[in-house]
Amino acid sequence: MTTAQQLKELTQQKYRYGFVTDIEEDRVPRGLSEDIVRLISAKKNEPHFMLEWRLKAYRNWLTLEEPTWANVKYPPIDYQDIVYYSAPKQKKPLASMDEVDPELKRAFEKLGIPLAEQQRLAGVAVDAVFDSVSVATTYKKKLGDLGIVFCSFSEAVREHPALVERWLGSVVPYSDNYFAALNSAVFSDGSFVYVPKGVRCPMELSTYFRINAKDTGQFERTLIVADEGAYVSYLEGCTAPQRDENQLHAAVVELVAHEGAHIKYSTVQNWYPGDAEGRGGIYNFVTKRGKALARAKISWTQVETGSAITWKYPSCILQGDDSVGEFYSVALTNHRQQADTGTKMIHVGRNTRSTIISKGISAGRGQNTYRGLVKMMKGAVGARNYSQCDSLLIGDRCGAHTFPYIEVRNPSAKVEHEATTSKISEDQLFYCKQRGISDEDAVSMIVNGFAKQVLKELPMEFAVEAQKLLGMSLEGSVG
Amino acid sequence: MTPVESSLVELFAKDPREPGWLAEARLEALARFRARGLPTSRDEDWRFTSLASLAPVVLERTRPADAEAGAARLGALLARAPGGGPRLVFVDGRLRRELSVIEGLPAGAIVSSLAQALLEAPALVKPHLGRLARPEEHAFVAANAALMADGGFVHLPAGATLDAPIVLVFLASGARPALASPRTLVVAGEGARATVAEVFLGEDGVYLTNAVTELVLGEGADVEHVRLQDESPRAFHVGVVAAEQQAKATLAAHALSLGGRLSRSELRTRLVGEQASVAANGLYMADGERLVDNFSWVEHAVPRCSTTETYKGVLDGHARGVFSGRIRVMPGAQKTVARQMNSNLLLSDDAIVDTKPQLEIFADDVKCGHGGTVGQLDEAALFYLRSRGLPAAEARGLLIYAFVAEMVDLVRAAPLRAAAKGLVQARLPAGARLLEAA
Repeated sequence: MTTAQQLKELTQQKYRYGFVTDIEEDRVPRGLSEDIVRLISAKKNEPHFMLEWRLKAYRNWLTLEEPTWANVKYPPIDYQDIVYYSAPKQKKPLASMDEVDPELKRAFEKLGIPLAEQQRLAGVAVDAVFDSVSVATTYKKKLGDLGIVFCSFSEAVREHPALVERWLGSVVPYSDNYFAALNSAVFSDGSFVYVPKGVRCPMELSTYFRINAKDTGQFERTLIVADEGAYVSYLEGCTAPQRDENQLHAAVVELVAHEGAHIKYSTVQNWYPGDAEGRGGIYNFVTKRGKALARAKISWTQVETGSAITWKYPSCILQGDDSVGEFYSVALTNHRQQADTGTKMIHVGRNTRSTIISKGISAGRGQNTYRGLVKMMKGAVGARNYSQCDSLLIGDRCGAHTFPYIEVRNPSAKVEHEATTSKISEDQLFYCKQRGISDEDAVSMIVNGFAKQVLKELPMEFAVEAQKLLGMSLEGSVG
Repeated sequence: MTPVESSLVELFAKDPREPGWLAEARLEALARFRARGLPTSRDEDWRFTSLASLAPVVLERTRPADAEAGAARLGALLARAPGGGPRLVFVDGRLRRELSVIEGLPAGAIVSSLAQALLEAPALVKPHLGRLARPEEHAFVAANAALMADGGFVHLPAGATLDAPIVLVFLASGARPALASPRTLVVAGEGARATVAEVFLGEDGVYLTNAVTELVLGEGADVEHVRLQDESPRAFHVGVVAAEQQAKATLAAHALSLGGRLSRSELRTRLVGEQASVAANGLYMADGERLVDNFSWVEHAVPRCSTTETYKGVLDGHARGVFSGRIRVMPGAQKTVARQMNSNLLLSDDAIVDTKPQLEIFADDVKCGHGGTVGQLDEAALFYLRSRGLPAAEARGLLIYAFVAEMVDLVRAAPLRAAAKGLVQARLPAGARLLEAA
């Protein structure tokens, strides 16, 4: 061994040891390297397979290039200027609602969020009786009795490593794309759900009820496995405005629906969109995908009103015969927001069916792009797809774009795609106004009517809030 | 692209009488082509069309075709081409005067070969040649700009009207691997009205036709442009039509792609004057291992214009059909009405369709829609026809024709419609029988 090599190894070793002592701290240094990945894994006490997986993902990420095909524009991201791990910070709780930012309070009121929830969201110390933690504990016991596992991802890695090892990356491999690879290497936390055979989850599962849900960080990882014949409905996000300092969010969600299982995944995304001039705001680059085995059904519903940039395509791999995929989406861009969103329906099995309903709303200088793929593989005998993508334009400086891709490899497959683009109807506006309804309420009403097909897919309490949210997100776009 | 050397320019397009600006433009275009190379499937516009089979087969061994190709075979080919009006016949990209007819033109109108026009009326050609089909934007346009030898030139002064279609016939002798780069320029003055057809026919042989056409439509001009492509089943064909439409100009562009091992038909038009309208129609049929690619790009730059786009495809065997259409409505182009539709019929288990109908809209007061469908023949309709005593092949042929007939019927000029119908029906199951019955 040459001296140079020895020296190199020695320095590397020392480097590694150096980090071990760092475990005491709750933040890792800025930047990304193999050592950072090891450090994150060590801090989380992860089993060996998890570290190996992260490292493979990291090495793969190094070989990838950041995608540029999306119809969005943003300044280059410096991946070495990001802190990839910080343990949950304990913010100083506010003493009462009076200390909360009045703008935030106004938003809560408009959305009609209950007081207890308002306090939790705003970070106000809550009365122990109404503490969401205690509520969550009660629910947890009930779920446990049914054999349902619902916990944070870190907990799942520790408590149910066999389940995690088996399914992690089975739908979104670490090599899937640039942001998924990055997430796989450095993900901090997220949710894990396992519903056993034949069990129908009795309540809507939501990050809202989960302990430690706050500050799961910018690289969130969710894995939901529904065993044969199981049913689960999962709600992600929240209609209330979410303040977050992290600019880049690269999350991954994987769904596995076994034979005859049904997973319903609903999202309301209302991250900080930046100000009216487009300064600040979250980059929301998400990979979401589900795999449906025979007779299984996966249903994605999303209401996207926040983030400066949204880049996400919740997808279904319809692998088993007679499986069903659904995608219902409302994406709203106002001011200078940009959204490039849609879905992929990959039909593999026979008689698979998919439905895509996408409603894009552009206002201000918002740019809204629907990008979707419907792929009928060779074995997809008798498969069906119906897609409808409508765009509504409010104001003459926004944009609405539709880029569907249809790839058919089987002659018995039927694919239909339809899209329309139009502006908000002046007749409808006039009608509302002459009945004494204000400009803003009228627009909000018309937009809600436009989005109704999607909103009705949301769980009840979410749907009500989402309607109000649409109206609020459009404030200042008329008149 | 190493095989294409600047000596190629001399080889293909050497004409000592050619104006200096053109010779310069050729070298510049060649440099651009060299720098850019052929598109790959990583280019979004070529995502589904691999040119891997093209490069080794044609370009490396490509030469101008033998000028004295078998005249007898050409006669049979030419018989399939429509006529009845002014007609120019090109063989392997070179004008054949003895086969061409120019008559019945209104005063001031010019129909000639482009090479001739460059010598006799350069002032009419120079302002437009290469303005709409820009070498810097497209590899095949660059190659054409470098190597074009001849093609059609149509000049219609203001108000000129021609009822009989002007037909440009491009025959491929197929004598040996060859490259033809036809170049056509149509300039229609204010209120002029005419039909211009480009017909590409070949029976056999491996060759590449790389055609570029520019259509300049003045205010209120009404031009129908028909492309009938029925090349040899082993041939490669890339055709780019680039148009610009002033106020109230109407363009009806038809692209019928029936032949070729690999073919691509592009329409790019910009609506730059108010109330201009374009109807982009395409019909493509392929079987065997053939690939047929359709690309269209319409830009609405000003208010109150309209686009109607309809493409239909029939794919059999292991054939692959591609449609990529984009309608772009620029900021301020209010009151735009645009409709885009692509329908496909798959006849076999191994046929493939990839379709991408796209809308890009930057104005709010617009009505835009698009649609895409893929399906197969209706079993119930087949059964009905069989129950009435029709043999299976005829029943299939009839149903397929019912699906595509709309595209043929949209062709306005009767002689072209008849020719298109003949070519389409000849490709149907039991086509001969259908032709008889018609």
